[in-house]
Amino acid sequence: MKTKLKGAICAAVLVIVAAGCNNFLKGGDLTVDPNNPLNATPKQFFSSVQANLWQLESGDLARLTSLWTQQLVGDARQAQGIYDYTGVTEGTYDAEFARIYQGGGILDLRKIDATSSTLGDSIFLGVSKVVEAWEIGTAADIWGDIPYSQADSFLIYPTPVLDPQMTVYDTIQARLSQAIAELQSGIGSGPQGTDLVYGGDPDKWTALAHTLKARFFLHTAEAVGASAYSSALAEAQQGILSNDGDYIANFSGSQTGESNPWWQFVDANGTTGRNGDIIATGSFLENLMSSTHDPRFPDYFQPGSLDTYDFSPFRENLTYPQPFVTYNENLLIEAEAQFETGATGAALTSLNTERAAWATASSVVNPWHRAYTLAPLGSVTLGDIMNEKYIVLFQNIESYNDYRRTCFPSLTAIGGGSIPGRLLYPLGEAQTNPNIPAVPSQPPRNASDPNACPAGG
Amino acid sequence: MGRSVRSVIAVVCALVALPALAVAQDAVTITGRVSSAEGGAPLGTASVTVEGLGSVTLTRDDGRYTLVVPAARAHGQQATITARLIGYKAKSATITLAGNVTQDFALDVNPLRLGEIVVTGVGLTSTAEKLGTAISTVDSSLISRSHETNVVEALAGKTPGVQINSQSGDPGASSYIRIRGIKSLSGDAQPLFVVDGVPIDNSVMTAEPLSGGTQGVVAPNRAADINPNDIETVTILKGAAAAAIYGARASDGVVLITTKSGHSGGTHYSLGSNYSIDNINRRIPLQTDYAQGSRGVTAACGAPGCRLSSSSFGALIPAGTPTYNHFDEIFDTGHNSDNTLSASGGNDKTVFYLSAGYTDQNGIIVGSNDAYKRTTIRLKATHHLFDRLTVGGNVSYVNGQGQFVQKGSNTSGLMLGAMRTTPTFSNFPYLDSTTQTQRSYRYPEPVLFDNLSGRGYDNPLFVIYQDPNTAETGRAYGNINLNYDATDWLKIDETLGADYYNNQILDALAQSSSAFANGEVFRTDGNNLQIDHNLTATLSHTFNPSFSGTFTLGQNLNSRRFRQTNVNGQNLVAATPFNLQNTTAWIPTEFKSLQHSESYFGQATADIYNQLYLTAALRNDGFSTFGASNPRAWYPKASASWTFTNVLGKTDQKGVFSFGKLRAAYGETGKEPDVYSTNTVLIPGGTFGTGYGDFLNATQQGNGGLFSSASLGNPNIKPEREKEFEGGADLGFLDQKVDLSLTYYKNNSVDVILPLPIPLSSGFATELQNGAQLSNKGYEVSMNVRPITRPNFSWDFGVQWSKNQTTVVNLKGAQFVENAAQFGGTFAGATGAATLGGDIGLRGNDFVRCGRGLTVDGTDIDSGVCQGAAKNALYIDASGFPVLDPTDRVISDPDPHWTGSIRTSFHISKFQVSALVDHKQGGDVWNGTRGALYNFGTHKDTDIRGGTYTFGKDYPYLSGAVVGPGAGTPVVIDQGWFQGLGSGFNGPSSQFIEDGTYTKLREISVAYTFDGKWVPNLIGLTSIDLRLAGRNLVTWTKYKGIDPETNLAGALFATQGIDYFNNPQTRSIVVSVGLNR
Repeated sequence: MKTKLKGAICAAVLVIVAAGCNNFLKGGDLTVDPNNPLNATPKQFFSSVQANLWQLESGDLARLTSLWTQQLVGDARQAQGIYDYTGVTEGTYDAEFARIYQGGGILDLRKIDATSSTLGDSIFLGVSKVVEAWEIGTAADIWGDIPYSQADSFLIYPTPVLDPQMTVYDTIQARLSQAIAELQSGIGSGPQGTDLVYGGDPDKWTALAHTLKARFFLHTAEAVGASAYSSALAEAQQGILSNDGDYIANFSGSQTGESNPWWQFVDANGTTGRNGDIIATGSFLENLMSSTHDPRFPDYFQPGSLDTYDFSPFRENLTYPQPFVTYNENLLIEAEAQFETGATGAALTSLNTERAAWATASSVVNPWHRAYTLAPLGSVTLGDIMNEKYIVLFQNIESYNDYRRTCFPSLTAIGGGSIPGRLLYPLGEAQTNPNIPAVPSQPPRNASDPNACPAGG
Repeated sequence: MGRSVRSVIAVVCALVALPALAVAQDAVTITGRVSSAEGGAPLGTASVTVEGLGSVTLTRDDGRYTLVVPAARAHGQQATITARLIGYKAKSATITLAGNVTQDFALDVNPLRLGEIVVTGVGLTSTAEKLGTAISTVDSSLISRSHETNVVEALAGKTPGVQINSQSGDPGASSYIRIRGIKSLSGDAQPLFVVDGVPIDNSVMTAEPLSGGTQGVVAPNRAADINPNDIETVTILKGAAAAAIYGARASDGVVLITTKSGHSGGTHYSLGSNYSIDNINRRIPLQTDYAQGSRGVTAACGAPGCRLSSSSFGALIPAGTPTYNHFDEIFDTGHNSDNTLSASGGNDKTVFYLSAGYTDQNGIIVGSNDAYKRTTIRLKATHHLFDRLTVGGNVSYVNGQGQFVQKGSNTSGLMLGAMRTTPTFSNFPYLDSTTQTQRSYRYPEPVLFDNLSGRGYDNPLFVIYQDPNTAETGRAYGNINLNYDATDWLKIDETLGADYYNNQILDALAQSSSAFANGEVFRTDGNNLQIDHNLTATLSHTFNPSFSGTFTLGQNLNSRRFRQTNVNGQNLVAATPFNLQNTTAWIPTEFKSLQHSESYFGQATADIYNQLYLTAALRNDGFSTFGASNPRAWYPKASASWTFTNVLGKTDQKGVFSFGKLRAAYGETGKEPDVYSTNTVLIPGGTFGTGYGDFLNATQQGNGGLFSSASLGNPNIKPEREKEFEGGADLGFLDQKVDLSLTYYKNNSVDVILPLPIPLSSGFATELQNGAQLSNKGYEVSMNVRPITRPNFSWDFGVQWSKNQTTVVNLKGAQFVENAAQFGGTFAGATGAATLGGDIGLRGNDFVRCGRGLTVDGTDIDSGVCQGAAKNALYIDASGFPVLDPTDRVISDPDPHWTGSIRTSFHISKFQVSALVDHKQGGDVWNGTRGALYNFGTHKDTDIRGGTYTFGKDYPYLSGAVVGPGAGTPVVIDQGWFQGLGSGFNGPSSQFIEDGTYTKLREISVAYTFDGKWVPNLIGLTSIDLRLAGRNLVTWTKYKGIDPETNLAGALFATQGIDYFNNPQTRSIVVSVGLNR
């Protein structure tokens, strides 16, 4: 008995110690995070990239620019401070800046690029470059000089320098040209069905790339002058040539995270219950459309409602397909470029073509609006074009770029002065990157937009 | 390392083989009486031990004891018999173990507890006078007197340098403990909890992992599973010098809990019953003068379905219109009944302690949906298997069942809806009488069938009655212990312990909830398993009477496995039941982790001339969480303690200066990196969202999306290291009637892991690095005075004081580190952060002030209007108003300047009166609630609306000097101000940072013990204790919110001092009865 006990104790001690001697501290769930994958395919990255792009184009920045362009009114809480500019601090838009560079943004686009290059999938490479140019272009629009040439290479460039805004625009033009060449090569398979907008169609991506090129040429026009309009016109003429090519988000609405962010923000069925923070009542856009008896009013607003629920149920819908880049925008780019280069007749034609396009609405082709008949105009001014674009690009960040360039529509800044020309660099970047100037040294306007719009116009 | 282990095994095996001794004789019965040397009163529950034989008994209440030494062990030899009782000096006598022996003891009081055994961790013990560090021990009577159900809360005000902060008054809320400041930038900074030698989990598990703890419901810190009535002592190893023996798990200190044990002799029964009545201790002042509406126009409901203004900036409420007290609507009296029945006893071979406890707590929120029930069972027993081999088992089972109410920053939170409700709206009834759906002040008359739209903010009564939030925990923990006294000079101790719990949580929002109008459920199942093996061998040798020593070698292996599965089911189909199959969309998340550690340690002690005690120890840790290039770490410690009064020949502890000891110690501890810190991963099932809650899934329409995490891992991460020096003195005066203990410590935390912020344009937000450095230094003072120590009348009081200063010394280049998951606070304008050169507190915005290098409209104000102005003078622009400064800066320091407490007690015959007053000086609290209520116009402060005030002169809510073109210009304070710069939403958070100084009457009690002859004769009991107590009866503070002792996320976050619609704290009257036999 006693001997057995001794043996047992010895054995137990030995077992315990033996356990300690062999890889007790390494391997399996001890070393490798069992909760998260370490690798992904280009399609898996693309699904994230697409969602992140949609959030970028219909989230906080879109709300900000809709408030600053007075398409909407910030009536309560934080939205009130954004609307009158007082609540916008350097820390307000960190997440929007970050999403451009981080996972789901350029960091993962570069991973798509790397794998696609290895696999020889030029089409995927082209798609990836279009998205990268679009996102970087958006960052340059908002913040001006931004990190780009040294971005997303932490081990080589831990603190990326700011590239001048106009250089960034040049770089993305080149990148879009490369993208077009790759998309047209016919090599590879691309994102296919993971692309919920174009189904991976390289021709549609090519058209989008041309329209984006046109858009970004316009952004340089205030600084560069007429040549920018000519370039924009040339690109637009190869751009999205029918509503079939519209880049519009495709929200299934099957759950909150697949629902339109505008709907999530405003409607009570979101997770936030912020109805009433951002309203349409009394906005410049609402007044513009009601004073001109614009027939499209019911697509935008719900007339006659007494409380703050005055978005139209059509638009304020969890599956509302938010348009980001459309045939209509492409036509209005052409109209502006033609007008600015003296081709007034062509500009009128482009504008009327755009207005006529409203007459056909199909749930498949252009589900973002219903059918309305707009009478053709007999003459055209820049204001006619830009006010139409202001209406068409409701809730689109591009309206802010249009306003800063053309000063249309004739807005009056809240509280006097002028509407801010840019956002301060985000706090998270400013605190970590010595290349970011301190707040007082940051320019009030970007290089592409040297002139503030006059107060009240 | 491997070789030394093998030699230990060899020794162990050799010793097991030694022949055990056993010679037969007759049994010996020892009887006697233990009394107090001062007055001669009998001393009950004193232990009497025959040394070396393991025979122990307890005295009865009359001080008498009987001890039987079995024949097998009594062979006429000489033996030492010792009587011990906490608070008295142990006394020994030598007896001959033959026939019947009588031995009485008269014990001297021992206020400094010299000679008493103190557990020092990993199975080691020491005695109080030998300690080279300040180790605080809190015994059972102090714990039970606090009438807290959470053992952490019971420690409040008991020991200097230990700060306790309770989350809220909800039953089952967590309590936060911080020892000697904050030493790390990650995790919750809670100490390691060890029960009877085995580490247990003290984390907080919540159902809504993404909520960050600022919303959802409260959850207990898991140490609250311990029944405080089962605790014999709590020993707190405060500094690194004391805790070094726990290596890389001890940077935040160690709390060693020893549970009650049985003693041989008669079986003792005891039934302790407490019943408490609780109510809300402080309220927020709300206005009852202005109606719902905006810009002076009262909002009226034209027809059912109307949506009304969220704010109360309407016209004056006409006389005769009823207003409602939104506190009385939702709070009433809570109660808590707490019963513990225990039996303990045994014989000379086997002793046991068995207890069962049941706590049934119903909180102060109306109805029975804030409740916590805890059932605990504990059995602890030891058995002398052989002469020199003792086996012990210790097992406890706990079942906890909580029901909670939604809180915090949450449109379905209780206080958020209640406090924003306009004064003229009655929240009762919460269902519309016609439609039977939720009515709220923003949607007072719901239309028929509208059960799927949000109400703006929920009716608080709807929150209470319609949103079920439950949690059930089953937990078993304990250990088996083998103690082998191989020879007189070698002792071997093995403890194998386990701690397992399973937690099932359901949080639900009913249909029409403002936070999720379609209704949703959060289901969480989590479990945690920890297995710990601890083996020590201690050699002791007395070289001569003035020099002896011990040497201990030990091994510890530990495994921790954690699993949690969460499913968020969205869109309730039917209104009930609240389960996953009754929802239409599901968002699952799962997390599991496994961590191992393998450690070896050694400790040597030397006792020189019974006055100089030296200790040195070394631990070597290998953790699976350490990076590949740093697989192991060493943690040394050394301490010395010198009883210098012995040199002066004063060993009797009498005289004016009766005792003096100096101590000094140095030690190092560590903190292991968070699990999987070495990995840089892709996020599955992730989302892209904004601070407003709108988000898109990476996976859309079934196409799985993965993206890179914004945190860059570090494959070479190593543990953080805390290096601490402490020194102090323990002094006794006036025949030990006064004792004083002083401690100074200085702690340097190096290699502190921080998610180092890197430029966002790098593609990541943070990179994990061992780079930061923090320092803590402070003083701890405690003094106890016993002016009167007569048997029938005694009075004593104690004072404790401590001060700690935390400084962030290095952030590896960063100016501050902000990390919501670790510091709490995801609020725009009030975010937890560690700031270089400062402390860990909140950052946000302030108004434009002088002396900060600011410009207004392109003009540098410091070289202009600020010339000659007071520092930090408020800049007033031409309109007469201050100006928002968009610069992010430190706005609050939640750490107190100092904390202190005074405790006193009187005994008059069998009466005992005691009280504990706790004070916290300083420590800012962000009163975000007030900021929000200004915006909604329901706060009493907004009654000044429409009045004309001048900043710097008579505007009451922003004080201090003013400068600028508009200084002295009177302005109208109206809705625009309260919803603009003067609000918590659009104005700077700095104006809602308040001084959290408080003084609390934590405990006051009157007790009486019935032990007259009639007690045994009539009822058959030995004594009855009766106590009437008050808990937190009075709080003195200038804080304008519910209670400065509050924290939105409780023990989840290291940043304290965040108040945003927290559920309130409580005060209680407690009646307790103890029946003893």
